[in-house]
Amino acid sequence: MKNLINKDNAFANSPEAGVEWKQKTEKERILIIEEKLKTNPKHSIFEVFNANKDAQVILKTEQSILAKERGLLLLEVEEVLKKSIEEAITVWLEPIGDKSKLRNLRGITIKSVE
Amino acid sequence: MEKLDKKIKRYASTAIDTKEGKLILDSHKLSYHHERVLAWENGERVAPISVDMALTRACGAMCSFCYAMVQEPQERSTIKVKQALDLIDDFAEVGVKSVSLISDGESTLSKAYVPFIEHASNVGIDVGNATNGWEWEPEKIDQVLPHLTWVRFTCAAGTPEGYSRIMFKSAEHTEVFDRAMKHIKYAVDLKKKLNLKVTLGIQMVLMPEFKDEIIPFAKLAVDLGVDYGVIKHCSDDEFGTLGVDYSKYEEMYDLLDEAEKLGNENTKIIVKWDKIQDKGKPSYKRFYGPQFLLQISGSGLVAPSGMFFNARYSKLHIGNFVDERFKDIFKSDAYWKIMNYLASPSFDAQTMMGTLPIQHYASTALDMHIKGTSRIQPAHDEPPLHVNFL
Repeated sequence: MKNLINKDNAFANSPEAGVEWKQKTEKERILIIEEKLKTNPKHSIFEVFNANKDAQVILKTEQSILAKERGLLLLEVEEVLKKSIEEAITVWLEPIGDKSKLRNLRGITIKSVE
Repeated sequence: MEKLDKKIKRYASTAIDTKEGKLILDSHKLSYHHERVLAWENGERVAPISVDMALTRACGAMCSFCYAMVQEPQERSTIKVKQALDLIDDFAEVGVKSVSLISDGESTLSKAYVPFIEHASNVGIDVGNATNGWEWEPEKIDQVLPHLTWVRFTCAAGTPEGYSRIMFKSAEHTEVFDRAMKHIKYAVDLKKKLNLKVTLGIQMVLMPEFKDEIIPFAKLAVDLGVDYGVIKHCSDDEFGTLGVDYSKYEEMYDLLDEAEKLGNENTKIIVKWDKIQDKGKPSYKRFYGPQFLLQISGSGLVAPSGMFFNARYSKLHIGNFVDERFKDIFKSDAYWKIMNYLASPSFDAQTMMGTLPIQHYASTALDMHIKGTSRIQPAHDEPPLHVNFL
């Protein structure tokens, strides 16, 4: 594995979404990602929940994936989407709210998008 | 540039002199682990110096500032005693030097709590513990205190009513304050009686709306006779779920200064200025700290940081030590690929994670080290207290 700890990477900006991506409607963005996900049976378990103009993509799945598998799988999905659609794509999964009944009395609702 | 110069100077001079030695709470201790820093820089697979974890995600409190509210992962595995003891053995095998029982749950509630601490102590791993102290009764204190390097009690306010309002159901429920104070005093007395080296402190997680509790908190620390009272910022996720308004911290600087002056020879009052003054935005884009200070959820989930426990950050989930041994997780492709991802331009710490994680100090220092703006130098002086806790 290549060592990425270096001065260039420390200073580098993360990629920003290109004009082509930004000009698409959210429906078009979701469609293009879902089409790509369908091409790999491992990736087709994910649906697209949200794909904003900044290329933040939220996926969801009904399947339970082991902790040791889900990290690598989602990084793989992100890499494929970056290479084939838009370099700035950053993949997240649908968030889960606090399951503590006591703390939920505080009325905090987890946010998923800004 | 001026801000960076200030940061460099601050990082070099934040040790507080106590009767028992130098105490560093508002900086890092990487200079005392310089060989590991160099090995990391050379691309070697270094073990974390410290692990921050919990033995459960359960907690009887309902603190309004609690970051655990945004840390729910997919699973809630129950950590059994054997799994907790195996974890300690694995830590020792890979080279972890210390464990902080903090993270996303109240570890004193776990059946593994006492045996975990005793076993860690037996194999030479330092253990610290943050707790609300409510279920930390004398029998438990007697068993664990001689084995602990430090205990830090979460104490949201200095008045019983303020404490109960912020940490429990309402201002009327002051029984939780009374219970915590009784247990803290017991620990302070036991430390004196047995001449233990353990450091005892109380911590206030400051949200701007708690400003009236700053001075009472400092006075409470002095009255209790703990070694320190520390005041820190409140973390929030990148969406502002907890509603922390970082612009309002500056209005409290005078009060915080006043609080620090209330400290005395026995009890230091320490404000984590570095984190407070950063106002929720780190100076670094890449996130190197987790390679030195790893976090594990009370659900058993191993992730680089508690900032990533929620299912949202599943791409940064490495494994679960309830399902497989930690030593195997540490050697896995997932561990190193995910750590590498955090060091790549694909990850931006300024926009992709919550504010000011526990790895903040280490991450800031490692970022300046790699950028060449301030290289981490090997320490030649007497190690500070808790040197193995970054």
